[in-house]
Order: sequence, then C-alpha cells, then structure tokens
Amino acid sequence: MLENYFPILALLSIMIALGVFLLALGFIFGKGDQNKAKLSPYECGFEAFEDARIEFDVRYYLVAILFIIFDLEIAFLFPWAVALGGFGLSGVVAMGIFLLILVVGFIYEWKNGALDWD
Amino acid sequence: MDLFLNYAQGMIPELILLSGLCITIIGISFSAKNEHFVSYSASVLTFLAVVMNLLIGDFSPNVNLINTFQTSDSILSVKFIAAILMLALTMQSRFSLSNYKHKKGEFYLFLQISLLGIFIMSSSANLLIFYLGLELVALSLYTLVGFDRSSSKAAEASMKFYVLGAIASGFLLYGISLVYGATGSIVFSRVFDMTSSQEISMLMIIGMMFILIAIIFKFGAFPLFHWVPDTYEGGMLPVSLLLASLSKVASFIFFFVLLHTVFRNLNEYWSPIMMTLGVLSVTYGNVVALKQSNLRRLIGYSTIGHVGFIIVSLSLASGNGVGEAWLYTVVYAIMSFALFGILISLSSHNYDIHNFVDLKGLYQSSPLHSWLILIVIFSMAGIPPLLGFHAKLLILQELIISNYLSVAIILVIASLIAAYYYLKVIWFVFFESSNHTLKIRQSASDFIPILACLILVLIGIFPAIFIDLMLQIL
Repeated sequence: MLENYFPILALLSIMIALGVFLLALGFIFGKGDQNKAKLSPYECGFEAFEDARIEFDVRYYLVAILFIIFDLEIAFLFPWAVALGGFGLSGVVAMGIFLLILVVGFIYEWKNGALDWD
Repeated sequence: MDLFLNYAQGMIPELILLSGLCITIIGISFSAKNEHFVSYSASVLTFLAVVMNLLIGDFSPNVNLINTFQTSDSILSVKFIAAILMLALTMQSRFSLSNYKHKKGEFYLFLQISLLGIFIMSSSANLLIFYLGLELVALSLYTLVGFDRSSSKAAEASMKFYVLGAIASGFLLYGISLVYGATGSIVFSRVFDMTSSQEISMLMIIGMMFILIAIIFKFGAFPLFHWVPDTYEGGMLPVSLLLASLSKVASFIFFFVLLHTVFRNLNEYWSPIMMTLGVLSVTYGNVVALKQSNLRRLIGYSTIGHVGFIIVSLSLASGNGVGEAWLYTVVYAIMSFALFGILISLSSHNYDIHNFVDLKGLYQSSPLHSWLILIVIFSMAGIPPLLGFHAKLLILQELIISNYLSVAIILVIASLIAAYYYLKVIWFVFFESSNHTLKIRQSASDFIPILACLILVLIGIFPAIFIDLMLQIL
C-alpha cells in the first residue's frame, strides 16, 4: 500500500534538495550588496507591507468574476472538442444546454449593468 | 442521442426545475419595475409544475444512469415532499419580502437553486455528483442568509456561515478523496461492494470520519453548531424558515445516503459516534437555550436539540430508526413552517418580534396568532395529542426496543428542560400585558401557519395513516 506513495516521497525530497541547493548557491556566491529594491518582494504595483484595509474598486472584483465564468467555459470546451468524436449527437446537445445556461447568466449580468464600467 | 434521451427521461423534475430557473432569470432581467411579481409567479409556477410532475408523472421505478444518477420510489417521494415544502415556503416568504426595500427578485431564484440541489443530492449515485448537489444547496443558503443587504447582522452571519461551510466542505472533499484512495471508485455501489467483500482498510475509515464531520456541520449538531444561532438571528425570517425546514431535509438526505447506503457495513464505527453526538446536541441545545433572551437565537438553539433527536434515531443501525428520523424531520419542518409563518405574518403587520419582551401583550393584539403559537410551542415541547409528541414517542420507543434505555432517559430529561423555555414563551404571550397594543387583523399571510397548525392538531389526533405513510417512504 505505502510503496504506491514512493514517487510522492521522491518528488518531495527532490523539491526540498533543489530549494536548499539554490538558496545555498545564492548564499555562497552572492556579493551581498543589498538594497531596498532587491530585498522587497515583487508585487504588481502595491506596497508590500502596509495597512491591509486599502480602497480597492469593487468593479475589478466583478470583472474577475465574469472572467472566471468564461474561463471555465473554455476549460470545458477544449476537452469536449477533443473527445467529440466519441460522443456523437448527444454530446453536441449536452454542450448546447451548457452553453445555453451560460448565455442565460450572461443576459442577466448584462441587464443588471455588470458590463458597464461607469 | 439514445444516451441523452435516457438521461432526460430519468431526470424530468430536475429538467423542469432547471428550465424554470432559466425562465426566472430572463424574467428578472427584463422586468425592472415588477420584478418581485415576475420572479414570484415564475417560481410558484415552476414549483407547481415540479409537484404535478412528481405526482402524476410516469416514472420507470428504478433508473440508474451510468452510475451517476438514480431514481426509485422512495427518492421520488422524498423529492415530492421537498418540492411541496419549497412551494409553501415561497408562498409565505412573499409577505416578508414585500416590506423589503432593495432588489428582491433573486430571492426566489436561490430557493429554486437550493431545491435543485436537494433533488440532485437525493438521486445521486456517485460521490462527486452528490457533492455537486450539496454545494448547490449550501451556496444558495450562504447567499440567502446575507440577502438583507441593509443589515450588518445578516452580513456577519453570512460571512461566518460561508467560511465555516467552506471548511466543512473541504473536509468532505478530503474524505471523498481518501475513500477513493481506499476503494478506487467514487460510485456508491462499488464503494459499498468494497466495504462488504474485503477487509476494511484504515484509510477507508479515516475517510468516512472526515465525511462524518461534514455531516455534523450541515446538521448543526453538537460540536459544530456555532453557525446556527447566528444565521437564525441574522437572516430574514423566510431564510430562517428555509434553514429550519429544507436544510434539515437536505442534511437528512446527506446522512442517509452516505452513512446508511454507502457505508452501511461500517456502522459499528459511525453508529456510536453519531449516537453520542446526537445525545450531546439534545442536552447542549436545550440547556443553552434556557439563557437566551432573543427569541430567534432561542429557536436556533432549540433546533440543535431537535436535530439531536433526528441524529440519535438515524444512528440506530437496526430497526426502523431511519423511518422515524424521516418522520421527525418532516414533522419538524411542519412545526417550523407554523412558527416562522406566524412570525412572518406578524412582521408583515409591523409587529417585529426579536426578544421575549416583544411577545408581551400579543394576546390583546391578536388572539388568533397567540393560539397558533400555543399549538406550535406545545407540539415542539412534545405535549400530546399534537404531532410533535408522536414523533418524539416513536423515537423513544425505538430506542428502548434497541436496548438504548439510558439514551432514551437522557432524551426525556432534556425534553423536560426544553419544556421550561417553551412554556416561558407561552407565559409571555398570554399572561404578560403591554401598554401599547396594536390591533392585528387576519390576512392572507395567516393561511400557511393556520394550515400547518391544523395539520399538527388533526394528524396528531389521528396519527396512524400519516405515520404509516412516512415510515413506508424509507
């Protein structure tokens, strides 16, 4: 039973060894001239450490949700398209229903003004 | 195409519900002014269509579609009862929502989604399909609890419920993955075969324990009940009613499907745990309810007590414990329809009840509502000849037959403790008077509470047919 998990153990140990190795490389051969820009973690345009309660426009959040819906649609469409040969007509109808439900949701958010930026 | 038609024939109620959902969404989108009316009528028509289809539809009794979806007579009966309860809930919540100021069309949409989730749960044949149904119910409940966007309490309750519920479904998914690791299948019948033929692996039992945690959370039973009082207090009245009635039906299905069909052979592992937790939730819920001054938190804690009864009865692996638990679930749903129905009806007359003191002088304001409250509270306390008494009696009988005499005694003592706060409600309604009384006339919002109270009294007096019907379902 447990020997089935051996690949995971191997993966874990390689990962840890690689991490330690890379850090050690930097530690040994690095020049050590550190400044603020080098030490701070990169995070797209925000200050890394400040008050967590910053103002963040709720519209970005809405766009992210809309993106996820259509992203998932694509994530279903690609494997479906690859396997379509085996499904036949019932596969086409099933995907049609799925897309129809998504279109209904899209009409709802359009009519509720989720797509208007202002 | 044959495959597709096979599916479609097996799941006609779900398809009706789904198309009703789409029509409701389109209806809300294109009606700005009377969206409440459009959404309400579309939902009522959808639920009526589902009820009619389940009543007179022609179903081939045992369908099993490539191990994902199954139906049988008992599953169809469970769906029928859930659909009727949802129809009544929709009709009653209209009176509560008509006072609500913000956008309200989506409320009925979430009711339809949660009913769809219950349908999928009850006829799933596969752990992942089951999880899909459970999440549909849970997600619509999270949203409904926070539906009142002007109330900060609702937002708080919804947030707590959401975070805790996400952790619970994480436990469920982890349990499912462990069970898959132990058996190599997520199909109910194959997992069941593995538990009966082979010797049981430790991995399987650990996976089952993780699933057990999720069940206890969904029921709101003893160690994982902290979301219950908050959601009852924070949500709007129809949402509390949904949590008390249909959410309990969903939890019942959760327990029944997973522990009684999939892991039936492992009952020596789960039965003692569930029995202990059930007894603890009866005692804890009823004892803590004694100290509550907020009426809706009190109902929340008393729900924990009632849920304990259902769990104790469900954890009896032999005998007819399941049937009696189902009877108790349905009876509790009827009682909460009566109780919350009265509260909704009173609040639609601007008589909001939050604390005990708000009940003062209710008898001067409205004798009808006071008598209805008397019937419901007596039924919840288990006083004969009301229906709640029969439900409790049958469970106690079953416990004594199965040699759990000590459990039966603890349950009786806890019910006695519960009688104290139930009678306190009656005392405030009938014997305390208030200076400012408000005359309340009868209106259409009283129909469902009166109907529910009539059921409690009449079936309580002539219980035989109803009880036989309910016990036959499962």
